[in-house]
This record gives sequence, structure tokens and C-alpha cells, in this order.
Amino acid sequence: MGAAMTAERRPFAASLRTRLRAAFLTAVPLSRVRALQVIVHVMVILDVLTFSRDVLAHAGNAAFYRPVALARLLHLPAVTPGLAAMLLAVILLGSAVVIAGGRLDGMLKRVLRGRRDSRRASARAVRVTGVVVAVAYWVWMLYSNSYGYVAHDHMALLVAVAVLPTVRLPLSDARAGAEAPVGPAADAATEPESEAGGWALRCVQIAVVSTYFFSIIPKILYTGSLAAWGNSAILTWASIRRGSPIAHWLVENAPWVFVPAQWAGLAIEALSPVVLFLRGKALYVSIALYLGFHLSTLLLLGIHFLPTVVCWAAFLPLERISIPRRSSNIPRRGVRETS
Amino acid sequence: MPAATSLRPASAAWRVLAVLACLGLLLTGGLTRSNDLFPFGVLDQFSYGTPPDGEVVSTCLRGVRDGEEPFEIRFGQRTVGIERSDVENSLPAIEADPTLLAPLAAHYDRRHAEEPPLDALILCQEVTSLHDGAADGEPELVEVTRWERP
Repeated sequence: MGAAMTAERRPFAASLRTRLRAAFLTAVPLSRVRALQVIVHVMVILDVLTFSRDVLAHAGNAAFYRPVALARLLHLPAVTPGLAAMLLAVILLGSAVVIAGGRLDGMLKRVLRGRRDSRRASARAVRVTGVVVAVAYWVWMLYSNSYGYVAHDHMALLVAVAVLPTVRLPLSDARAGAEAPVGPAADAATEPESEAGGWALRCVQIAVVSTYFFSIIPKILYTGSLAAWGNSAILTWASIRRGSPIAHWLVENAPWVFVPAQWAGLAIEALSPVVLFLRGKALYVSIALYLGFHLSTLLLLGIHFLPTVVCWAAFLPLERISIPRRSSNIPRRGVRETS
Repeated sequence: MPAATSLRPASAAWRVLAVLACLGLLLTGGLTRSNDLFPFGVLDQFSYGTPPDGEVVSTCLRGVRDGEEPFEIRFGQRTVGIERSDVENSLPAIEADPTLLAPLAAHYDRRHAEEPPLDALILCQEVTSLHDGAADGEPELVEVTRWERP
């Protein structure tokens, strides 16, 4: 009987493994991961210089320091001007190195003078730098969110910087070094794919979707039901507090528009996990819908959610984007894995 | 077919478990209404549904200089060195200890070195009443607390 049960369990375990692999580890082209890595690190630079720049000012607000759990776990003291400047420098320089990618190859070739494989060394340097940026950026964001207000638009970006360095990337692509064929012209037979890359992209996708889906929990807990939230005056409240001239005009002349808009927002949040299973045109239409949602909140309330918006790129076939080459006489080569 | 690099079972396992752990944290943060688990805390922006006949409270700052009318000071890194939302999340602490407003006044004075320093900084609220989901009349200005230069 025991043997029969074991035999039954085996197909179940195998089926579970197959399903989990399909859900989290579907292989994707490495050039897609590399493209997302560049986009994410450009966003990180933009973020620390604009949206989360408050860390520099917080150095003068030590009395407001209320460290979140992870900051307490790491025993982070209140940020000082020197520490903020050092973190900013590490993030900016590190992100620049990650974005430069394969361009390091030429530099390392000159430094190493053939003693080691410069391509492998530059790929490793970029990966290690990615880890350093991830740590520095997480600490930066812990500081940004430990002085009272906690932002809700950075989860996907934080996940992205954390998971992307786990992928071993070859850097001989057009974005990194302008050598290899990527995009529609690339030879599919030479385009390597990786399950680790697929996992990293899936993590970013899940984080993006979770940003919407998990926001319905507090709406139920705070108001009693989704219907109570949908029929409330929350958009009137937001428009009066921080609305644009368009929002103030709506409050004055057409406040009835807010309740249907709130129900539309609820539908977008509650149905967000469906996007994880869409492909092709349906996926692109859905992404356009969510970006349209953010455009409307930007126009009405000045809320852009750009760190999340950028991470929607994880759903796109970025390897198809062709980047102009630096020189037309550069020979094309296939992409090789570094390890 | 393109060459696909497969993960070993152990590598695949920790990756799947990491995703499930993060989702578990996010669920815990949501159910306990805690921002403490940032970045996996509660996603509660605009979650408090305002009653259609309730009120909208908007925190504000007003500066006071000797011989002048109180004037509005906007929140922000370039004015008082902190955003409105940070101050709103620390309101009970500021009410208990108004000297927490001193760094904001100091930041404002540094930014306006050509003008006399502030004699007082008032933390206030603009309260707008709602009727049937629409603004009902002009907002009322309420003083919450004030810091005065010693």
C-alpha cells in the first residue's frame, strides 16, 4: 500500500515541479534581461536624483527618524550628510558601470593585456557592481522611507535591482558593446536563453502586479468592503489636497465622475494578476490600459508611479528593440554565455 | 532552437521559495496594515475611503515674522527640507513636542538668508467639508501647534 502511495506521489511531485518551473522559470533571451538591466539602472539614477532625493534632506531631520523593520534589523543609524553623499556616489557610479556593460571590455583588455579573458572579467565586474548598487540602493530607499512617509511605488524597482545581478549575462550585445546581433536581425539559433533570466523577469512582473493587487487588502480593511471604498469620496479628497487644475475643475463642476473612476480603479487592481497569463496583443493592450491609468493619475493628481511604470518593461520582448550601432563595419558575432 | 541554460534543482528551489516568501511578507504587511515591512508592507495609499459627507484635512505651514502677516510656506525639500506626507505621519509626535518644527524653520531660514529669520512656524490644517462627494464651502484654517523662536 505504501509503495502504491509513493507511486501516486511521484507523478504529483513531477507535475508540481513542471508547473512551478512553467510559472516561475520559463527561459527568456538573455538580451531581454540585459535590456531590462539597462532600463532599470537608468531609472535608479533618475530616482535618486529626483523622486527619492529626500535622503539628502533627511540628514537634517534626525528627530523624524523612525526606521522601518529592515533598517532596524541592519542597525542603520539616522542618515548623515556624509553617508547620504557616499551612498549617492556609489549608486550613480555603480549604475553607470552597469549601463556601460560591455564597454568595460575594451578598458579591461588594455588593463589585463591578454593575461585574462577580458570579456569574462568585464561581465563579472558588471555583475558584482550590480550587487553593490542593489545593496546601496536598498539602504538609500530604507532611509527615504524611514522618516514618516512610506512610498508604495518602488517595490518592483527594488525587486528588479535585487534579482537582476543573479543572472549571468554575456555583455557582447548591442546595448552593452555594440557588437552582437540582437533584435529581429539576430540569429535565433545563437540567441541564448536562461531560466535564471526568466526567473528574474518573472519576479519583476509579479512585483508589478502585486503593487496593484495587494492594494485592495487595505481598502477592504479600512473601509469594510470594496463597495464602500468604490462609493466613497476618496478622489474628491485627493483632488482637493493635491489635485491639478483639471482635478479642481472636476471637483467644482463634475464631482459625479469620481465614483465611476474609483470603480474602474478597483477593477484594474483586482484583475491585475490576469496580466501574468496574457500573451501577444492582449498583453500589450493590458499594459497600455495600466499605463493609461497612471497617465490619468499624473494629470489629475501629479502621481506618476514612474518606478513601477518603468518595470512594466519586464513584460515586453525588449530583445526586439534595435539599437543603432556605433560603427557599421563592426563584424557581427553571436552572443556567448560567459559561464 | 536557441540554447537554454537550465537551473539545477537547488537553484530553482531557492528562487521559487524566495518569491513565495516575499508574497507571504506582502500578505502579512497587508493584513496587519503595517508599513514596517517596507518594501513589502501594506500598500495603503488612498485606501482610506473618505465618506461622501466627511471632510478633507490638508496639513499646511505658516511662517510668522515680527510685524508681518502670517504667510504660507509650502512643504518640500527646497523649502523646509521635508515633505508634507512625512510631517503628516509624525503629527502626534509634533503636537507632543513642537520643537520638532525647529529644523524646518532652520532649513527655511537657510534658504532665505537674505530675509529676517522666522519668529514662529505654525503647523496648521485646512479643513474642507464635503456634501455628497463635493466640496461644501470654503476650507477652514485650524492651528495644530506652533514653534516659537526661543
